[in-house]
Amino acid sequence: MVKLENLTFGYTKKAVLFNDLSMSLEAGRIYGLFGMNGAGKTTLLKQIAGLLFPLKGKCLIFNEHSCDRKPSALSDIFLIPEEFVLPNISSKAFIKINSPFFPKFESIQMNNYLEEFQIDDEKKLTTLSYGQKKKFLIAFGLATNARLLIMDEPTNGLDIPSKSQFRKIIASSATEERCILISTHQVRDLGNIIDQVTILDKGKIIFNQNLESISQKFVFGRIKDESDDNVIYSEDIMGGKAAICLNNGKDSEVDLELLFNAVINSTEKINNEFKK
Amino acid sequence: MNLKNKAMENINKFSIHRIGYLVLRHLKMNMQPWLIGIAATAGALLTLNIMGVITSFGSFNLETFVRFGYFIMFVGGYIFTSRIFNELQSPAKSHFYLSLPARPEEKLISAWLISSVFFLIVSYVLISLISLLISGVLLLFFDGTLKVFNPLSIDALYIAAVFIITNSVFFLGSIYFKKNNFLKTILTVFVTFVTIFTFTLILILIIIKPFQYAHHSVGFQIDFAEVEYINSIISYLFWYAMAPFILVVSYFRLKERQV
Repeated sequence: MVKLENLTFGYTKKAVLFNDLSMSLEAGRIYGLFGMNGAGKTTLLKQIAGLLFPLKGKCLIFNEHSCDRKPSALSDIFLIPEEFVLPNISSKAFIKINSPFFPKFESIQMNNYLEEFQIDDEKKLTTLSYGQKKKFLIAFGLATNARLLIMDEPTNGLDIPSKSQFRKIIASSATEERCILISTHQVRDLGNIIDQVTILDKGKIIFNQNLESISQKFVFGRIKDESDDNVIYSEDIMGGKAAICLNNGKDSEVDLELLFNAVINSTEKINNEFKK
Repeated sequence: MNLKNKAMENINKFSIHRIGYLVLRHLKMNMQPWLIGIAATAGALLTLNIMGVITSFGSFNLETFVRFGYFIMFVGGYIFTSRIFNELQSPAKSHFYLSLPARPEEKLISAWLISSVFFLIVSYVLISLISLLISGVLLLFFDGTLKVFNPLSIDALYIAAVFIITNSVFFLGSIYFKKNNFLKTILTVFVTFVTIFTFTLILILIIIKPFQYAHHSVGFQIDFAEVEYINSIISYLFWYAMAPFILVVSYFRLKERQV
């Protein structure tokens, strides 16, 4: 669905952000793109959406160059950015003027999402709170039935009930045909919906594994000391140490925050375990 | 090729319907500020002319009124056109406009139709209505004839053509610059004119004239036939080449635009 081949990009030719970056995204998966501030997450999403053009290499979406911005590709991609401004019109008017551009747009679906998110479609978009605006845009993006849904920090500004509504809606909208790419640094918000963890650091993909293989390799929990040979990574927390250990047949939920810290601090060590 | 692929192929073709949707989208999203602008301009035109009529004891000079109307139309039109791609000028809005599934030429044509054709029609209708209103009121209270602006007169059509051609410069400016589009376009036009003028002058003084002087020994005089020839080239370029060239440049600029 998405293929990045030796992509090089920089806002100026001297300050290159991505150098020879390659990765691919497949349909039927929900990708969590994690990275520290300034790692290049938003830039990467904009590259994929065709809003920025590579200096070298290719960014292919449905086998088309994303920078060509062909209507067929654009109607199958929807980007929900972190920062956006909605026009001073009602939700209803917004849907009416923008939905004709998306051939797979479903009004019934849209109404259901708006109902779920408790958004009044008669209200002007500028009068909505930031969280409500974000929910509206998420609802619109989902209702376009675009095969590639890109979200940049989607849970930023959402209250606690909205975060669980968001997780529920994303989980229910995931289909075999659709690929969802979510970039965030609030890893706990997405814990149980993503199925692929991609970590970006200093313009490079330093980790890219699915949740299943992560939980097969590692077990996440608390330890008292680090003397155990199975400990791959540990860090101090209140009342002990949180650790990632080699899995010896136990089941545990993947602690994304701990995994992220482990990958950032011990990239080689973590990746080596997947090469074995 | 299955039906789904065929439908996707059709999406990529140039579509008049999509231009219609883009025009509607533009109108709907900006209608409120535009209506305020139209009302304010109409109010100002009406007030100033009524004051003029009162101070001149009931005489209404249609020619002066129309000239003033043209002036407002040109200045207002250039400012309006400079903001036609206002969605592109804001990083928080541009992502949605650029990723809207439509071809760049469709986006370009829809914006051009609004900033040039739609604006011109609204302006001419407004000038006609205000002249009718002032003239009608005067006819009720004073003697005279009904003087109304005719938007289909030769003069009006000539001015319309000049507006559409010169407006294309501001159209390019609205795509090219990210901020202060109107002022930056004016500055660029000024710098371009000065550069062209200086270059032409240097060309004439250094290359053409000494050559002529050496061969004919007629002194340093302006050859009016030559000036006429240059004028006709400039006139041809202005009427037939300038606007299409600028629109083509605008198209490529829009196509290559990034957030």
